[in-house]
Amino acid sequence: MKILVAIKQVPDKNARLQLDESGTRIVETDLSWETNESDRYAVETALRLREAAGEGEVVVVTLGPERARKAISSALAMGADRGIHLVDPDFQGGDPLCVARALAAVAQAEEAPLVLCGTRADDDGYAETPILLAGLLDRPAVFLTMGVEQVDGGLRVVRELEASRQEVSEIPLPAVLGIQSGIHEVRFTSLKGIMAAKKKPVGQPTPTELGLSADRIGKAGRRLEVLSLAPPEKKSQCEFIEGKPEEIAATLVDKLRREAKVL
Amino acid sequence: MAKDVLVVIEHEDGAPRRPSLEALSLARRMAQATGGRALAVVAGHGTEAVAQAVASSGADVVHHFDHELLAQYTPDGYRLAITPLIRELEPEWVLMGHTYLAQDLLPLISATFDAPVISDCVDMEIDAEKVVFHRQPYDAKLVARIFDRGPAPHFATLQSGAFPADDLPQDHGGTVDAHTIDLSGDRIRRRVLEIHDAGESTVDLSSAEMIVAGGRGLGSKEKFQQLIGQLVEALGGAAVGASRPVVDSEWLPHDHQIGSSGQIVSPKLYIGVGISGAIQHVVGIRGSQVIVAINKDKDAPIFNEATYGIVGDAEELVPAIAQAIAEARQS
Ligand SMILES: Cc1cc2nc3c(=O)[nH]c(=O)nc-3n(C[C@@H](O)[C@H](O)[C@H](O)COP(=O)(O)OP(=O)(O)OC[C@H]3O[C@@H](n4cnc5c(N)ncnc54)[C@H](O)[C@@H]3O)c2cc1C
Ligand SMILES: Cc1cc2nc3c(=O)[nH]c(=O)nc-3n(C[C@H](O)[C@H](O)[C@H](O)COP(=O)(O)OP(=O)(O)OC[C@H]3O[C@@H](n4cnc5c(N)ncnc54)[C@H](O)[C@@H]3O)c2cc1C
Repeated sequence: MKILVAIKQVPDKNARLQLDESGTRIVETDLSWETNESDRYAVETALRLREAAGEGEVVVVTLGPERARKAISSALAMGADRGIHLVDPDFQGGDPLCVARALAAVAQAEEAPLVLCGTRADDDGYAETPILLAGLLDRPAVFLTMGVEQVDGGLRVVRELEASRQEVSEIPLPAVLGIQSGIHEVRFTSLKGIMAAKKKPVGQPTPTELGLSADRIGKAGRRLEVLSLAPPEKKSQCEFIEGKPEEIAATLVDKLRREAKVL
Repeated sequence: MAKDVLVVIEHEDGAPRRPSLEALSLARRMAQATGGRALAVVAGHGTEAVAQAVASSGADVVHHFDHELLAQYTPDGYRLAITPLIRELEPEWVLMGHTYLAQDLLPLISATFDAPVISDCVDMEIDAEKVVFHRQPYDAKLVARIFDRGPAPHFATLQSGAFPADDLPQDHGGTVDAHTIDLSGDRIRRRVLEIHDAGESTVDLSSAEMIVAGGRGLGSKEKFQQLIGQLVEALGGAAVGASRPVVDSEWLPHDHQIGSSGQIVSPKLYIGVGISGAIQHVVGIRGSQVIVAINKDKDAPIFNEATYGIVGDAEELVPAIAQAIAEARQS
């Protein structure tokens, strides 16, 4: 079975964020980037499904500028077979629906029966692209997937629920799954994998090649406008303790005893 | 055209869930501002009482779908009831709490209307011209004000607790409109086999008096054990908690996880080290009497929750703090 995995490159968790002049986006230069956390789990899940079946192809797709190529390289180094990079400027700056439309066009062009996504991009954090995608493709989907195996007629899927519960269900193929972080341990990349990745093909289809008109994707297609982006107003009651480590320690202990009375 | 706001109600044990009531409260505010009505939809089986409760709690009209195939939530069952209803009612907004069910369902419906969802909102501005929702990208380090410039219906989900439901009436007297729905099993593509607990839990953090919790910022399993261990020992025994990435990376078993998909805790003292303070973690610790946060990033959202905040490197701070605590306990 061919499995398409959608991965997004996001700023490093510890990155210092700065706002651009428009006050609606962060400055992208000088940031370090990584593949979104749950998307790494999605790649791992695809590789395990391919290994369990003993056949199949894992194709990773990312929508993003030139820098996002690295996310594809890392997935190829983990063991994915091929990459697709939606790098054309017309794809960029869309809202989740624009991203879902582009991914839907790729899924159709690739005729991939299974599309895996993460659950939430750790930067923009909409947590909806996979299910929008399923809606556009009119496929069954499961969000927050914590387990998946191929069974007769489709997939058996474990969905995470609130209050530490899980739902086990079966859905037919073709399907879309949003993979939740923690589903499996993610493999380390070997040097051999990194070398092999260099020879694997990465396509760069244009919107036209995918049958997408420019006003349905990217900046031109988006409905959701960011009017402003800013640090939150501090509503914190937090009392910061400063000084050298020993001084901080002494002050903290004093406060925990006298004020908070918890020691 | 009046600007009605429709809330998709989730229910449990015969009552509407809290996030749905929070959405209803906001729907009433929005409807009031624009002269529309607050509407609700309940899908289920034998859920007349839920629909009644929602009508009493402030919905002007509750649309009730009762069918045996709706007894168990499935995206297709709910979608097949709710999508035609939205077409019929033409609401300006469709709202839900940002729950697991909403994330599994709402984008499926919104896509049919060629609309995205403004998800996980924490605030709203409304005036005659437009509605603007606030959400918190980059793990709540920033606030984005979002406007949907597309045509109605618009879709939004609300972060749990961000819109209080305290102002809901108890005897509103809204009407319940019972709908019939023609559903057959073959249109429901998800076949639910069972619902069970995620795993045996041997660690009960809910009754712990003192909890020391570590996050990904500790860097490795070894550092986690070393630094968290020092604090636990200094306190003469405290329970060990963790953020989700820590248990996902198997530094610690799953039952130490605190948060929306872990345990909810209410200790006298919670010390969080190298934890950013994502909402999914924070909802688990809000019941703590005193929260001490140690994080090297002064803008980490955990400091919005903390009683005492310490900005710095855990490796330098924790040994000193552990020592001071140990000495204080001996004196
Ligand atoms: C320059 C710029 C301008 C932007 N302007 C806007 C704007 O005006 N309005 C707005 O709403 N958003 C804007 N965005 C953000 C937007 O593009 C989001 O990335 C998009 O809306 C998807 O939502 P999300 O990232 O929160 O993904 P989520 O829905 O949280 O993602 C879930 C999963 O979907 C998949 N996925 C998501 N994005 C991608 C991707 N790019 N490639 C492959 N797979 C993916 C992944 O598997 C991911 O785990 C802008 C981004 C950039 C770079
Ligand atoms: C559906 C869903 C459910 C979830 N459920 C939960 C849940 O129940 N519980 C949970 O915790 N999460 C949950 N999450 C994940 C959550 O969104 C966050 O990703 C997670 O809480 C982040 O964990 P963290 O703070 O340890 O890691 P990070 O976000 O990586 O933060 C690490 C922090 O450590 C700090 N740091 C780094 N180095 C140092 C140092 N040397 N000294 C001091 N500080 C340092 C950094 O400044 C940073 O703030 C869930 C997510 C989803 C999508």
